[in-house]
Amino acid sequence: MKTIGASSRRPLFPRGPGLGLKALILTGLSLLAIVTDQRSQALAPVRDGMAWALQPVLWAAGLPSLLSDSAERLRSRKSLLAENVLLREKQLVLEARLQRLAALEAENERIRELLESARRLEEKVLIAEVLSSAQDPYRHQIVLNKGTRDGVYRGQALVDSFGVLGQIVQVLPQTSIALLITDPNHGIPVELNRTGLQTIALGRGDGQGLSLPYLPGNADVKVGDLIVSSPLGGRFPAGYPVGQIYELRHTPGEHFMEAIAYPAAKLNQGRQALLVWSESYPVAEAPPPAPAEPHRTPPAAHE
Amino acid sequence: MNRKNSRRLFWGSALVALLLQLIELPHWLALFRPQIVPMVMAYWALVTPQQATGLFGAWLLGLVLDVLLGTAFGQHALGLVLVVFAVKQARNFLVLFPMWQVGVALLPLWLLYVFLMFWIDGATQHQADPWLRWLPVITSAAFWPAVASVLGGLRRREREDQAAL
Repeated sequence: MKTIGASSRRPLFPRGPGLGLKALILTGLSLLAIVTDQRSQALAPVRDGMAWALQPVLWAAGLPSLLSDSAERLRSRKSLLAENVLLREKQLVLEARLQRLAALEAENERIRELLESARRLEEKVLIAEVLSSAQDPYRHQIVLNKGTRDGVYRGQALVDSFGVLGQIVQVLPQTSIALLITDPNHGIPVELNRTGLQTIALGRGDGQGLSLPYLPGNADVKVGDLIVSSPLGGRFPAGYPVGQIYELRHTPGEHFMEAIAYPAAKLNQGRQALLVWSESYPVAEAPPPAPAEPHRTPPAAHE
Repeated sequence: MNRKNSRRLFWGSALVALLLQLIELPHWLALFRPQIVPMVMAYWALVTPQQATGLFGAWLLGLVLDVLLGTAFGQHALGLVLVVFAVKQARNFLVLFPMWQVGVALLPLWLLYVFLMFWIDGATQHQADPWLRWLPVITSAAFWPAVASVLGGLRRREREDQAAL
């Protein structure tokens, strides 16, 4: 073999379509896919199938952070003991509070029964681990370790111990992907806790803000107002904190006033999140969840 | 034989690039993450003399990237196809330079890729910070010599194995 390798010689008569034609076809296909994906759900099965096949890649990409997490778990016994004591104290306080809450809840239920309202105070919930957070810094998504097998459905609400986190946008057999409330694609119906004003909170896309762009110019809104989720739309359970308003913007000449809020949930800090089955979703349709894990409360006061 | 081996090398490097693109980094570091996948695709387009190879592979890889990143289906596919096409077109000119100079010459290509992603994001209502998005252009150019030398080393070893047989 004295001559140049066969691999580095350009063939005199190339077979198949040429470079320009091939690139043109593939570009056209890509553009078509983008437009179809934007306008309809026709490509959703393809996407779901590919996502299902690519689960090992996601798992492998999550390995380093998984390893660093387990290294963190090997902490000294002493710090764990200290944490244990702290947690026990906290639980005592919380339990005391819970007792009072139980009484209040019972009272509330009785009053609601009087009002003949069929609202449930506690929903069915399921704890999910956060497998990984957004790989793309411009999209606010997280991957959870619960999927169709656990009865998770598209559009399901996700909360943490401080407030609403977001909702499920894609469900796979064992994992699901959730969109956080700060994503620019996300909107959530909310209610001002102080006045009961209903409006919509949109994600601002900077990872830490929510925007309430459709407030009437004369609305009674103050800095520091708490916004909570509203049951309108039937997707989110009512009454979970969504955020706190920290800025009001009056744009001269505009009909609407805009309010900016910090989300209440700790968006990129926890490793656990709570999936909530909302009232309007028929729980019976979901496949039977794993035994004993979801804490169902007896349906209270249904008509 | 040779063809099969080089195809294995292509897909192996594509998988590694995919993982590097996906691995979780702290937020501030993720902003600087170089565009590894287009870099690897551009490298293969540069070193393979056959006209149309690698184009379809880049397209498939782009679709995979779209699914994994949750972007519009076809967005990264379009970007990668255009990157490979541009490199193929400019190949006769680019092969005259040493690799590190090629890195500088490819800077407009990363700019084009990032701009395309930015543009399609905007068209599909996914506005993002318009200034920080351009950071990967610089880091991609900076990391090019490293990527090129690693892939070049792999290729050389494969070719030596071939000669030994």
